[in-house]
Amino acid sequence: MSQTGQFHIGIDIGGTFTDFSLSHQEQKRLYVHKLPGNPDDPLQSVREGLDTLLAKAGVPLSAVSRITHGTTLIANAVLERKGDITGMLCTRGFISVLDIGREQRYDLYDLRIEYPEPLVPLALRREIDERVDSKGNIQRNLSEREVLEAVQELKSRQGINSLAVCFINSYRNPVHERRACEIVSREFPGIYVSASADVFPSIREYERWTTATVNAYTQSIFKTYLSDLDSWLRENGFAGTLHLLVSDGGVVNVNVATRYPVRMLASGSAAAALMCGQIGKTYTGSDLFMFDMGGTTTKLGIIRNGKAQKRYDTEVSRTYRNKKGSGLPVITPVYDLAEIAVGGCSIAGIDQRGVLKVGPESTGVKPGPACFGLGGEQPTPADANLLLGFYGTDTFLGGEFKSSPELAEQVITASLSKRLAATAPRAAWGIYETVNETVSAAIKNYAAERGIDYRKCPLVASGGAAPAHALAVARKLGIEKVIIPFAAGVASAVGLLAAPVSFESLLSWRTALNELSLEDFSTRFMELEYSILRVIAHDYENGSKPDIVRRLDMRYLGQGFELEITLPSGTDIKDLYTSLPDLFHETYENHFFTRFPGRGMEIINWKAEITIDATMTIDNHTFAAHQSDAGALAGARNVFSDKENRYVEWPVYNRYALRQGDQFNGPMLIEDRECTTVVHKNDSVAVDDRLNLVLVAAPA
Amino acid sequence: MKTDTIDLITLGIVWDHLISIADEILLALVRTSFSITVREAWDVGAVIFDRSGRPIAQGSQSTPAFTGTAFYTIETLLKRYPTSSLAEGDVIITNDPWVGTGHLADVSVLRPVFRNGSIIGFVMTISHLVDIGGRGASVSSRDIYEEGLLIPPIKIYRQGQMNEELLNLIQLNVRAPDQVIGDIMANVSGTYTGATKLNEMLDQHELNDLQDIADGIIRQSETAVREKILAMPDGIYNNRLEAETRDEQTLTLACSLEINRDRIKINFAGTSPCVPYAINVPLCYTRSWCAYTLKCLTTPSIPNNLANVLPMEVTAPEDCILNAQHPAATFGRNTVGWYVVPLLMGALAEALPEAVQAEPGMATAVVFNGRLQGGDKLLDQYFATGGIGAMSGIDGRQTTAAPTNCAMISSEIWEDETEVAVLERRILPDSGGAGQYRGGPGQQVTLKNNTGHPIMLSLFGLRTQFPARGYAGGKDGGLRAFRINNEAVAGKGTHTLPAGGLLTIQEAGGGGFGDPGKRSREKIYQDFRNGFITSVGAAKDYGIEIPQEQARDDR
Repeated sequence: MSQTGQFHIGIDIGGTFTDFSLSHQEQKRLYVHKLPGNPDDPLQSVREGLDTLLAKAGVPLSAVSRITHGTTLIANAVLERKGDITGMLCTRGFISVLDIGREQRYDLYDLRIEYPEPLVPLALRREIDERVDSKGNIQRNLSEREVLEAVQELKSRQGINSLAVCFINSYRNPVHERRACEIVSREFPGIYVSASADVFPSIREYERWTTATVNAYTQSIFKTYLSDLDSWLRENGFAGTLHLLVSDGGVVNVNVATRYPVRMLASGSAAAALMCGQIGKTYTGSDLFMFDMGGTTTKLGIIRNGKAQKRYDTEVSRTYRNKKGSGLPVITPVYDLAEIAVGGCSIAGIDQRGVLKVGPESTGVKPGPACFGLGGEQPTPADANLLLGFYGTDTFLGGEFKSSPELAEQVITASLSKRLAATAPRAAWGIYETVNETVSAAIKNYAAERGIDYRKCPLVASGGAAPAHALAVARKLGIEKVIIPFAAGVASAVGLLAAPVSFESLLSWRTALNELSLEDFSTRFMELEYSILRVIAHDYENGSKPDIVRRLDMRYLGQGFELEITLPSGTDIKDLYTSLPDLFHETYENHFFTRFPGRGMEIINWKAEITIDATMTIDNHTFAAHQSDAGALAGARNVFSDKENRYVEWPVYNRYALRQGDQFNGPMLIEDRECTTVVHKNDSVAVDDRLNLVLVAAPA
Repeated sequence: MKTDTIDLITLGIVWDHLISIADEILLALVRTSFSITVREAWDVGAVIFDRSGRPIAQGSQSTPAFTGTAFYTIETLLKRYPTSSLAEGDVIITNDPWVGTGHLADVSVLRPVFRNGSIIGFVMTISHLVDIGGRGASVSSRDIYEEGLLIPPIKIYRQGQMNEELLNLIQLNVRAPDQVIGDIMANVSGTYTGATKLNEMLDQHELNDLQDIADGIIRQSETAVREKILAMPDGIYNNRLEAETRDEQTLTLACSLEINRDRIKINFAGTSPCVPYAINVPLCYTRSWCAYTLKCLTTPSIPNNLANVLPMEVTAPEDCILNAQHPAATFGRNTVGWYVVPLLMGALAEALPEAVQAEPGMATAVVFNGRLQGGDKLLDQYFATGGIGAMSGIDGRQTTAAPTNCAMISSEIWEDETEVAVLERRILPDSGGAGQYRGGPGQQVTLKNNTGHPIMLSLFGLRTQFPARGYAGGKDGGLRAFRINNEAVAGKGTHTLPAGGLLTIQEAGGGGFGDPGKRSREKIYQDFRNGFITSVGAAKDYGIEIPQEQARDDR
């Protein structure tokens, strides 16, 4: 059989489905698979899916050298408040920090805005009489006894399994947080501990502590899942490395992932962005707009030069109209993407205004859309698309899911038709259009917050549901071109295969530039890089070549906000040191159109990101599923036309049989095992050299 | 020039783009500023105007007062400097309270935006300076002359050349020149950012100017605002409320609000006269809070622009405290001006019960003036917020700015900057007014002076005698109080915080909405568990005993 090292696997657990990909490095072939996830036991679907995938490819698990895993488990646990019972220790006097929040309204004029509840309620917080001042000096020693008593009491009375340790000024000196963690780990080995400065050592206690509570809240469920997965893989002969995808597109090993689950908050979106990035390498002419819709959520964002943009702050579980500011703030490296709760399995209902609304609730896999006949009693976009004829009754997942248009019609009639005074197909059309409208509004909103003219960005549609909606969304937005990658329905899993081993760490070490010696400068970076290499040591030892990106957060003395400076790579550390003042002045002027030549400068944060040269890439891979000899036209189906208020016949094509250079005009449906691409009348389709569908939307 | 009007899709996109530019200007201003007031508390504003000076977009997180005044500031500036007298690279500055924002501490900075040699619009930024000379941040000044340096509208840049004489004049008249000059320059570069981005935007959308867009924005918004006003019941609605001053005297604020089809007339007859210390309000500031209230009640989801004020007419008797005339002292004009919002809301409480919000506990600003351990000047402003008022269907949020929208200052940032330690910040239970919907509780903050030097404190505290009123049967919120080393001190005025001394601030709660008897037991228990009420408060305000199993360990 094949030798170890030739096979890599990607596993992506989404909100509803679990997707798989396998790359045969030597033959450059890709295999994919998709199945419904099991929210109660995510591991079960991973096991089942891996078995099928490996059988498809004829490969034993023992031959797989690397598995890269993306997951929405963390974000879902926070969104659905299904994390662990989490306690919090904080500095005396600061027990209300999570309640007081930012004291600002995120919308000036809307008096009815809402805010999320903190993850750790007041009853589970305890004050500790310790104090470090703003210069890092200890003002009041930490009492071991006090920590023990507080945790003992939280454990016995409140039943905590997890603990966030949040002390004031720990970004400056984390010694008390570390000490408290040691005490808790020693005396209560069953309790998971997250220290705020260890999770991300940034100044501003509300944001740092909230981040620590998110980490603590999700730690035990994630650890349980990962160790179960790891043992199962080992028992079944896997001898390679298991990596987890973090929110900024890098991967980390199981130990790091367990320690910092918050880093995986946007893992699912990052996986989709990686796939979109692959497309971006081919379509270099313009930025791309990612539109990834699965069963539960839609992820979207801009991809520039094949990469999503990076930032260090995000929000989880927005509570009010998906408005910026209505979620819990989290400080961690992330891709700059947005996520809304609309997907193929979202529930469609009538809102307070008396009009159709889709999401944010979802049927999930269980009971799932009504058409699956698994007990779902609420209509979803999947039901609507089936009833409209966009989806076939026995195509989804290769017919494993027989879908019943009768069930879809029943449920849509029962819950919507009467209240909307519309026939079932018209109501289904309403659901379809509401999804398109919701997504295009979210894209407008994302673009508006960033000043992007989305009309010039081709839309890259991925995920099980997006290909059915992409052209309609593009038309609403005035976007002309839509790209649907091969295997779009499992794009995130394919994207995972392209993820490099990468980890970023930060050191908060504030120093004025004129007091910084060359020796200190290089020592700081060396220490930081060493600590990162220890985190990713295993991958490093494989003989790969590390690529280091160094960044500094700097500002003029007296300012409160930093500007991130990326140091040129491959430059000698001494030259970097010498050129630093000029580099800062220049970057500052580029951003703010001014500079202050006379003012001193200071460094606030030191950042290093180490990426191990990905020896693997999915460039030039072909899909095993491609059928170069089959006939492309697979049949025909009746599709509801809203304009004519009747069903008309559309041709159905087999995506696997489409060849480079093929061209078609809509209307038509293009099916593969994981998704259906809906091409409306007057839209056109071309197949490019990588078998991507390149669609052109007719004007509205 | 395009002659036909712009299509709605393009209008939407460009409109959003304009707002994102205004947000970017604001962010640039905050990120390049030196004072904590600007960079942490966001005491700032950014507005984009078309070439005739009509406001069309503003930074989303602007302080409402600033965007409200900016609408009128530009009128005066353009009278003083007609378009024909402006060249590319000119920048105008002023802090005249009657032209700008109502007090000397804020600078308004205006830059004409040129495209192909002609003006296509204007960008204005506004920010609060930590000092402007005179008696400093204080309500003790008796007239404007004591309050510091008044900068009439003047060009701070002429065709890209800095007006060094002016900057020198400012520099020599303020206490913290590095911060003040740095922040003024942050405004100048913020407007430059705006001008550059506006031109980029027009390139991108292949437009020659902003006029079609401006017309579209104002037309769309005005229609919506007028429709909303039309839907309000016509009538004349009156309200009065009382507010404390720095002495025994009580202020009466009165309004009469007339809704007539799609127009609203507001008059403040019956309001107390000006006082000989610095809490008097120029009309521009009063009007800006009227505009804010109208916006909340009509079209909160439409981005703010000129249309919002078109249906509104505001008048006030001359020399009443809401229409102070030169040379009245105005530094603490916000401590009276903020009341305009609850005053108007209260007037409409019965006519629009679903739309109004009970009175807010408001916020406190304390100016710290002293020296750091190393001898450097300490001059910073601390903010703390009370609770906001409840409204039908929704509890008031705890510790949240209203009607102003200054953000909190992180304790870590504050300590790093000032050597004044934060010893506690706790929710103050039972301070939110009881009601079917509960008012937001305030907080207790204790700060310790670790600088080794005495600090002069200027307090601007409200609601030390008159609480935030509840509506529709809801109870009033708790009062605000200040203590130095555990001794109560007056809420407005100047005090000394000795080295090692403690300042304690108790923030006022918001008013409740609706009969407390209608509040559900589960919500009362939840308030208790959240530390928003005590068992004593539950018994007193709601007549409910908290059962043992709800009791938590307070330690």
